Amino acid sequence: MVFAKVNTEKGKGPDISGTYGIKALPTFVVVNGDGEVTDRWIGYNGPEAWTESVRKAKADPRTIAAKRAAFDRQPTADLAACLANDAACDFDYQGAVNYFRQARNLDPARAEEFTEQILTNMYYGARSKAFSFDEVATEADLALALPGATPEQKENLAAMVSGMARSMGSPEKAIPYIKAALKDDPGTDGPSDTRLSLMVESALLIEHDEAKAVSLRKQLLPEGWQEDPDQLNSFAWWCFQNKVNLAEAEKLAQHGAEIAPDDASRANILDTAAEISAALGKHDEALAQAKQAAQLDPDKDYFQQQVDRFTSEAAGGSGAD
Amino acid sequence: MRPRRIAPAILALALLAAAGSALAQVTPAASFDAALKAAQDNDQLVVVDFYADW
Repeated sequence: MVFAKVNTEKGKGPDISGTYGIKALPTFVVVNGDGEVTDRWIGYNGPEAWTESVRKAKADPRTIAAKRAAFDRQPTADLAACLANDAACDFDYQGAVNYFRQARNLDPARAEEFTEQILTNMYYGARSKAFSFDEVATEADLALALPGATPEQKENLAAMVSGMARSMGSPEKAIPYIKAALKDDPGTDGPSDTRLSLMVESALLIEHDEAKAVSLRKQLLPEGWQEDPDQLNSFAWWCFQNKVNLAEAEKLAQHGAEIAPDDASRANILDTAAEISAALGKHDEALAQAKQAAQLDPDKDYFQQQVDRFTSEAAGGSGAD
Repeated sequence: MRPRRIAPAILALALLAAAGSALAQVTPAASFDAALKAAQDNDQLVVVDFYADW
């Protein structure tokens, strides 16, 4: 096995990436000496998972086309999983889920592994509305019912379902999964970041305690976040999304814009500040910030659209979504 | 603006060093073309890591 790295933005990288249809980073593509694809997958989940993926790729050097033909003749769980990962590389999450479901039917002993993959693909597919929440819930319930689901797995599942429920505009639908995950003991090492994020969701959705949610959310920020523009933007944006702590968020976003390292980054944070100002009813301020963002990054159409929107709002229109 | 989510980048050398025995036979190549040639010459497969600096 030979290992090569291709920087998708430098040298021959863009051409090679185009040849192999790279859509997400990192993507790993296994090719034979003729450059034909034999396996591919998106993402890096640690050395053990990566090693296992490489081992499987090595064990079956047939091309994807040959594997697809073989699967049609005589399906196996490994072939289904390979074809599922191939579909996911094309952002065909429905296809990926279908293949992983077939893999689970073909090898029920690996139900846990394939159910996790199904949920992961649903998570990404949820952004493009490829799945309904009911479909997600069916799979999540299957995962929870698997024997030996650990507290950590329940937390990961709840975090995933919570993210999907939010992206579908119905965060409250994740409540049963958040409750199920938080019912377990957090262990002696204190809550993990995943658990903390679920506690934030619980404070918002179940306890309706905004101050607690903000306090817990701050615990998720790294040391020195008050002087880190990306972290300031991230936290301020979270406040805006949840319509909590807006007065502090406004100041933090403004500070983030002041210390941003470059114009593009400053424009991004100013856009956050503009959204917060608008949410606080300060429409003139929001418009000024949006205009500044558009001046700093004139190539980004989005910022000009924001100027138009805030102009309308400042004039008393209803340009907001 | 919504913060951009960045997938964790891979440090190939660290990865190779950390990986288990199954990767003992993985040989890093200097370039994609060199990897393909080595694969052709030795009837091997190439694992290509597509990445970006950000």
